[in-house]
Amino acid sequence: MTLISEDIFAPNTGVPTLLGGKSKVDGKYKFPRPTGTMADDYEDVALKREGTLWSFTVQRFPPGSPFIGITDRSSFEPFAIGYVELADQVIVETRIVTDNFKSLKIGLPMSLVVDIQKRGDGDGEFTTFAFTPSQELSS
Amino acid sequence: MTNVYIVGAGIHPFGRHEKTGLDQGVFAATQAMNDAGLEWDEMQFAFGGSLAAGNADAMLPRLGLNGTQFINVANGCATGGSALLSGYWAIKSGEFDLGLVTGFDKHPRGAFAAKPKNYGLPDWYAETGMMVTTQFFAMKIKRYMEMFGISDDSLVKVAEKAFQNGALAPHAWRRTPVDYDTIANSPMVSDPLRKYMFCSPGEGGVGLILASEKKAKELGALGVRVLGAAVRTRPEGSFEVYAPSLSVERGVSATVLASKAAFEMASLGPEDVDVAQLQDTESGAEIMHMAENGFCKDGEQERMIADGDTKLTGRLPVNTDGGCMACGEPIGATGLRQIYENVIQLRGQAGERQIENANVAYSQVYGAPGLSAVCLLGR
Repeated sequence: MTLISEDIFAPNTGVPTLLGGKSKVDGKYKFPRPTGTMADDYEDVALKREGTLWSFTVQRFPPGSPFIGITDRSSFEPFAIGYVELADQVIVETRIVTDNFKSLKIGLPMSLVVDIQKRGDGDGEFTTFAFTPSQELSS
Repeated sequence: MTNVYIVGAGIHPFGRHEKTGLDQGVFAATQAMNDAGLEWDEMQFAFGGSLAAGNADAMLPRLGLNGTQFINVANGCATGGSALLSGYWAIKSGEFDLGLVTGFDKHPRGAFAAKPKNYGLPDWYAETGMMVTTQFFAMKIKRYMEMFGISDDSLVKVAEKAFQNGALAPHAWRRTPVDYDTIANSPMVSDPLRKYMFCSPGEGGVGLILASEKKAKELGALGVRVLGAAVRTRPEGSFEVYAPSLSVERGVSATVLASKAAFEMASLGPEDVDVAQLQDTESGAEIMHMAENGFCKDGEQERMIADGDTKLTGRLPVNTDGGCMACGEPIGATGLRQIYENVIQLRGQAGERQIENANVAYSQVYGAPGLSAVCLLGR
């Protein structure tokens, strides 16, 4: 299994769904679901799989350690990062899967996807979550 | 309670140097004491900070092992501002009359690398490529530009001004102006921010000597007074660096809180400020911090920058020594560099970059994971 963490996705949901935490005190949502001593203050909540792009940028240079993706300058490919607002829940930071950085704009409908990326150490792949423009998913 | 004065100021030029960060700190501290006509044996305390160049109190054997209390301060990019505040409190309380506040650093090239565990974050957040400070700054300004009508042109002009001012500051790292087209056509680092719009991790050291009113009078050094100083951390709903999620209920930043607190302490408002040093990790930060510190409403920056209001000759000169963009960012020293520049401006010693009739000077430094330190000085 190449999943980067067991804590990202909600269990037994059929379709991939992010696992958030809803505060028992103020009802506010957090992602990832708080762990450790804060865990008891939150209840599990399945986050919405659709949202809108709140802000974004393109990572044009290879991030440093502890990034585990490809950092070799000759094969590094820029990738987009953004925040996606899940209405009435929380704004989640995410990798963005897109063929066209120029198509990204604030307010764009986005959908959750499973993102599989090559590891920089040549040791296979890692699997994480990402969002993609909903229109790219349907086309 | 006594007033607090800055009676000595020293700086080791920022940039890249052969010597260690520690030696740069000792250089600056010694220069500050010389500037005040004082010696280490007269200091009653020291607060110092360094992130990557060793413990600040490693200065002790070089300054003199005389038993003086030396407290190391660590507060991210706001380390310098926090050291200043610590010294301010020490004197304000009446406990001490005279002390040293210092900071230095020396970072490797490239963006700062952070360990998720140090910030209470899961490893996957960094492993998947999301824990990069430049991304945060880019996404914050991207949304701000969209909401408040700030153009790419303004981002370029802020950087252009930084290098113009840096060219006039002997302590700056980048001392050659960079023209508009070079900035506008430089490689995109993290959209919408380009290479010449970012500061770089660097090296440098700063020392400041703080004194009570009584001591400052004795020294005949009542020139520069601390009018207000405050550090505030991120409130719920603010947008900060290293945030895997944000509340849908948006709120104000740590900077807004720190600014308000410092102005209240000083019984002053933004309209009273003659010169301001605002955290400019990149062009966008300077623009947003203009509003967060109360100097304009959101969106007014576009016109202010077009009109040259923040240039040396403008209504509110901002980052008169070129700020972080021209000076670089040695974390332990950067906040104190802003205060050093304000001391020099208030004393009228800033040469070609001198702001005429500067009576009230403002500085604000922002650091991960969301704190801001503000200091108001007056003469």
